[in-house]
Amino acid sequence: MSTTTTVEPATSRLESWSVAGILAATLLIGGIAIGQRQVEDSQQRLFDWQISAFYDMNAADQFIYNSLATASTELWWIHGDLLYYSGEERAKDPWPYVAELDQDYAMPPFVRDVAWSQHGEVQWGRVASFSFEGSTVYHGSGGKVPGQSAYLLMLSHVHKGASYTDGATIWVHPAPNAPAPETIKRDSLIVNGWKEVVPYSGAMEVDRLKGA
Amino acid sequence: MNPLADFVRLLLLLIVAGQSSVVAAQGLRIGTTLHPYYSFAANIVGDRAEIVPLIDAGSNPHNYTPRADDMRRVLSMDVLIVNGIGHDEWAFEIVRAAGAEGELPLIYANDGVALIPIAADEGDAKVVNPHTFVSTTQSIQQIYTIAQRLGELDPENADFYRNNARAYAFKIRRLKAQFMAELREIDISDFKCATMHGAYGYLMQEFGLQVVAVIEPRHGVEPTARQLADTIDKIQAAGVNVLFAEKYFASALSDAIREATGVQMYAFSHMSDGGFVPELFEREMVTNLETLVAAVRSASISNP
Repeated sequence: MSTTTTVEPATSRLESWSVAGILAATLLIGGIAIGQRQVEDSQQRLFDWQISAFYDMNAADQFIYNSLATASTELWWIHGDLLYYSGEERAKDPWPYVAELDQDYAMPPFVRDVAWSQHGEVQWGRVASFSFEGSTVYHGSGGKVPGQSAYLLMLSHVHKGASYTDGATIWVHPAPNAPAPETIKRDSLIVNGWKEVVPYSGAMEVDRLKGA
Repeated sequence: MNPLADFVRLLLLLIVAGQSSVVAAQGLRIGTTLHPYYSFAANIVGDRAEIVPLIDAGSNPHNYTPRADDMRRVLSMDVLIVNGIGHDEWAFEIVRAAGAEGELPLIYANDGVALIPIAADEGDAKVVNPHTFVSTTQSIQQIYTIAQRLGELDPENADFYRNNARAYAFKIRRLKAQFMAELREIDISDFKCATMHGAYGYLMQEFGLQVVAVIEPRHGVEPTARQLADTIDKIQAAGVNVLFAEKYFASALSDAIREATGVQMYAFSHMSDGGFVPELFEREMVTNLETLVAAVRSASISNP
């Protein structure tokens, strides 16, 4: 006669809880560790109507973009001079002409020096017809370097909350002879093939290095 | 000798000295890391603030090891101007060690600079070139940023700082224009160069000159034998005219490359050597531009 004996684990409940506990602890510790070690990608996400000055531009475009970015700060300061310290007549037309930026200020990319020749001899013009939109535009076209763009430097009063600040945005068009647009509303620029240039700035690199 | 008169004279001297130190104490005490930032700050603030280098003159900022004295120095500053993008990481160690992190305002000079990759770097990812101070345009952008931030910290002198920054920027542009005029007389269309170090990408970009190869993109990271052989092949295939090495930074590699390829060799200043003086940036920039013009002229004669 055979007998069957069923052996129950004496600590089955404890074992299940232990496994569940270890699993939960592992997930918790893993989650915390991943959260703490996560580094946000400091490179700005781009829309399809934007391009990166760091990743997407050839040498000529990159030179012109960098020069325009630096020039924009001083263009606002010159604008202030013309508006307040250069007499009533000039205050009605308070942005410097390209010829002034070339001859009086030696300011790249407007100055016609060797760098201007090497970077396609772009023809610059100041487009004043946008003043009713609150912006002044410098338009560059006709560059001779293969693959070179046309350029727009837009200087606008940016509305931030209750106050206005001075801003600048730079756009490029893949056709080097693209004419100045008839309006500088963003949607219109996008529809007409212009792309806004986004820099990889020192501030972004600082964030990347510090893991911000 | 009249002891009373001597005493009165001494007293007056002490009063004048005391007043001078009060005036000095009213101005900012501005710390700087690299040599060009000393020049930028000195030209912006004139006599209305004091500029204090964080490290001693003669120290090499590429491999600097912080010292106890640096912590004492950093604690005496009202603000510190940094490169912040890979050229003065030791400054953050000093600030942290001194317990001034979050307390001492930092001016990141490169905040508004649009960075470019190291020229001719052929890795999978483009690598940021942190040598924004070996240039004129990117230096001017940094001068503007420094002037604006200093103006925020010292509003009474904000206009003074901004006007000085503009005058200094104009001076730098005029200086570059002299050399641009010299280059205009030379055919530079076929000029191709290689550089030992990645420091000169911004400068070359400003003149529209092509850098075909960078031998040692990062200081102290020498290429392997295979990489060096590839670079030599590339220099020969591209018809490179000139190799720019680095002043004060001897390298056996550059000699080997010159022997293997026959390129002419010139040396640029990295602008991070010598004493801290206001005119250092302009002086070293003139030296670099003279070197550049000489190299281009020589290459055009060799390859008419």
